[in-house]
Amino acid sequence: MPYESGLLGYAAFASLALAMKKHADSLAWNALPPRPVLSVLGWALLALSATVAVVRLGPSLGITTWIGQICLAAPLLVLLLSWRPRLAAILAAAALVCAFPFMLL
Amino acid sequence: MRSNLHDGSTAVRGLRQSMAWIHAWLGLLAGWILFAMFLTGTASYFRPEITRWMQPELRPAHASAVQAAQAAINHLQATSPGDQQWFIYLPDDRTAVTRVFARAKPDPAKPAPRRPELKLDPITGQPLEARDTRGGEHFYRFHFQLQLPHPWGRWLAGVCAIFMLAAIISGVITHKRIFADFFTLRWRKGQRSWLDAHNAPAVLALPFHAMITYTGLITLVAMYMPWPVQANFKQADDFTAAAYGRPAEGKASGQAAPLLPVGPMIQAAAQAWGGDPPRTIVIRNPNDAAATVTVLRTTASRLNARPDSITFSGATGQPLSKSPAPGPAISTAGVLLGLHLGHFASPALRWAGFFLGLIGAAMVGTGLVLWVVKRRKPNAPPFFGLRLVERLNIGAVACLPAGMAAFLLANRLIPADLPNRAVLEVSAMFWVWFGLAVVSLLRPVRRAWIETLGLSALAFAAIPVVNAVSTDRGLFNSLVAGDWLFVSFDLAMLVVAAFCGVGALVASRKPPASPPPPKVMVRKRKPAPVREHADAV
Repeated sequence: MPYESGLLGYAAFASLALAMKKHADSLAWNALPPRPVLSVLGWALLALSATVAVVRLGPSLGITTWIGQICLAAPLLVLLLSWRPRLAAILAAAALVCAFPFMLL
Repeated sequence: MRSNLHDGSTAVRGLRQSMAWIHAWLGLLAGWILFAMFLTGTASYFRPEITRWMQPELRPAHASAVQAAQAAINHLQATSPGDQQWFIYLPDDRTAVTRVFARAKPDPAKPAPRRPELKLDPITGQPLEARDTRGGEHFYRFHFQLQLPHPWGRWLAGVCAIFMLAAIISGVITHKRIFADFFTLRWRKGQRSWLDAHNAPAVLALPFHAMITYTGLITLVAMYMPWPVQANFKQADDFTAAAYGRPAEGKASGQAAPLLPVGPMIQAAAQAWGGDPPRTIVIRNPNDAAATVTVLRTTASRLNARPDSITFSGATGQPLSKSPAPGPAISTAGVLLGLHLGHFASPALRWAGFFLGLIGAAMVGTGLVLWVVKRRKPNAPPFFGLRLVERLNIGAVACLPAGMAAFLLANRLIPADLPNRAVLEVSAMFWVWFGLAVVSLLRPVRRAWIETLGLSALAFAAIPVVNAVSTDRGLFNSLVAGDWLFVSFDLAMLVVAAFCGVGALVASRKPPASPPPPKVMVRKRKPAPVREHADAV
């Protein structure tokens, strides 16, 4: 299973969440990129996460594995976001950083 | 019955409200059974692993497919060479033993009793002795047969699956703020929080819920809707032959001929399948000139759960036939079945499926609680229906985990050589589940939630302890031996215990604003009219 696909999915959903005003506010960070940027980044990462899974496993198993992973990444993000929003955001950055070495393997 | 004719609002609003009504009632009626189907189905992702845990006497022994098949055939040759048919289920990464089932030649004078399935050592082919248990098969069977006589369990499961599918669709239509609230989960806000806790797992894992419900339903569709096949085929066998090819059913010639070694046949099959190993080997009329050896392909690496097969002559070793390339409909059915069973999944993906299943159970469970929370009035005594639903919720959601834990605990606590112990294990699950539900009636609702969830947590936490005391494969020994199956099983039990414990904690928190309902019960009170607010479901 390509884990980087799930990590990218988590980062993608985090970007999309922070592109919404109420979730960005819960973070209370000034250094956050502008919301349109986060929105575009989120969709781009989501597409990348699907692409990686399909390239790794082919269309049928790839899409199955991708959907399985993002269906898990999103609830995990929402749990963290409701409990420790900053931790959720930091983990998203960490997931993004971790995903790239995986992709090069 | 409510009508939305005099709502005086737009058609969309009317549609949402009727969908909310459908969603609430379909979800409620099927919810208790669906919760059990979700939870036992989730456990079934680890069907062979649970079986292995439940037979701690057996140690995994790794043998190649060729070695295991030949060892099993040697055993069968020594014990019953004149049989009509041998089924050999080969071990793989997930199962530790070879299973064989032999069918004797039919004897009209004296019909032989059905022989039990045997477990063989993959390397030596010698029969293995282990405690009698249903193992993971029990959760798997319960998940769609509900412990009811055939065919009622499957029908009930099918009705619940239809309700679930309808609840998914009506739920999506009802949910007005599906994107605005996509990432929203608010704690400690009473009804609002329950709504979020129902919506978040439902929406975020929606593809999984829709997939698992639809594929589950479709798996048994030929049973639920037999008419298309009946209309087009005179006999069920004709349909099977048209769909999957005719099985090798040659008669014995009566002329003896030694059965050739299966190794070369397995290798030839593996070559035809791009290196995929076989899963099952079926030998008809062994030691006859007309003997056939059918090799079935593994489904561990493909979405399609229908195995293809190649049949060889047992006397000459030449390939005789192979299963026809499946048509689009049969391939689709195979893939839908495969998606539901998840045999294709790597261990990591299987764990993902396990947690997705738990998310599904959480969605059903919070939905059931939400039904009650929405209808509870702070200053009015609960009406009969509300109290009934509340009690059934406790029985279905909080007591079932204790029952499942009891099944696993009984496996370790019932003596290994007690006759009929497999049935006793199953009874343990239902006695604990329903018994606890009945006993919880004696406690006030909130206490009942806390105590049954707490007991479930304790029961799961006890499993690693009892395992360590009753076998030599406790957590410490397994860690030292690098026995990752037993290590992960113990850890998984602790995680499940933690989930139940968190549930008990959440239940023990004081509800935010609304004071508890007064103790005085007023009977025969008409239920307060409930309006389904479309934006609040």
